[in-house]
Amino acid sequence: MAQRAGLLVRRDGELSFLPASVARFLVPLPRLTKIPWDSAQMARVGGEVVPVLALGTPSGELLLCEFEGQAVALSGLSAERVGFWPASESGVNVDGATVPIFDLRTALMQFRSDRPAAQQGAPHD
Amino acid sequence: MTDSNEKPSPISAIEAARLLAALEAAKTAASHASSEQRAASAGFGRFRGELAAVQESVRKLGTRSRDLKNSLHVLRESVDRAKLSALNAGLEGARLGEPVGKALVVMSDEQRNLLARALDALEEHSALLAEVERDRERCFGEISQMREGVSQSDGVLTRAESQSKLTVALLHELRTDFGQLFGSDPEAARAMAEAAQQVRTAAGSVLQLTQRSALDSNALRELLSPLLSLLPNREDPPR
Repeated sequence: MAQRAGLLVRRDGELSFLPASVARFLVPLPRLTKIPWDSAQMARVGGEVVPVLALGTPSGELLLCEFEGQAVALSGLSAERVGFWPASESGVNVDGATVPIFDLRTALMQFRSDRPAAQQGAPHD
Repeated sequence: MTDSNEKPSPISAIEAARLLAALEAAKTAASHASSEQRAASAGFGRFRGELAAVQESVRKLGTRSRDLKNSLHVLRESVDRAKLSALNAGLEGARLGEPVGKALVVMSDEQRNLLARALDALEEHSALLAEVERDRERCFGEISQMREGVSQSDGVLTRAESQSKLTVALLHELRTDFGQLFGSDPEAARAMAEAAQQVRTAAGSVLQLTQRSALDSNALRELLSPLLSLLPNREDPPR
């Protein structure tokens, strides 16, 4: 059976799997900066400014990911384990239980749709 | 000898002597009470000082407790970071893939397990420290209450000591008044009472002798009347 390498994260009590190709590294939660007239937050990690998707209550760590060639950070997750697990249809099998792959694409889409349009929120001249 | 114009005293010399003795005893007791209260007050003072020292130690324990808490916090942060480092090492291993990265992943997992145990121990220490801190605060409060109680008791004792001193002074005054009231020194009154007792005994003996002899008792009574007039009318028990 094929193995999948990656990271198990817990979000609101639920385990999810992030492939090692997406999950880059973890850092202690830095100071997050809100962008004016926008719900997005930014963080500076290793000299690079990255957008932050807040997925839940801040857990004290930030997960740096690379998705479609773009760097994005996830907060509100708690990293639990790294390893190789047998692949299942929707994720991986961990100790006999199926852990789904974290749907980063959907999360990003939701993040985009939840944001107020820049034109609507920004002040006019 | 009693002057016939002088008004007779309402109490006998023996009663006066008894009163005097009671006065002296009361004065001595009040004096002792005063010195005992002084000693107790000094003891309270020492106890209050010791309590203050204990309270200061408990307060210092609080500072140590806070230092320990800060150390535990730093430890916790370090363990958290070490856990992230272990996970990052594991992620590198996962990216390398099997079989190259497997060892790194296994090591990372082992390290993560150890760090999880360390975190549990730190949590336990934090909980114990919080418990110790609660006990310390309770202790501090109880010592404060004890100090308050000792201060109040000391105040009561000091007031009692003042009252005892006042009692001694009043008794002394009473003793002086007593002397003035009976026109003589209380010591002289006591001597007089003793003398009267002896005279009464002697007079009684003479009377007995007379009854045995042929002498007319009435004549003898007349003879002894100046002596008997010195004595109180009723029988006073010997002192």
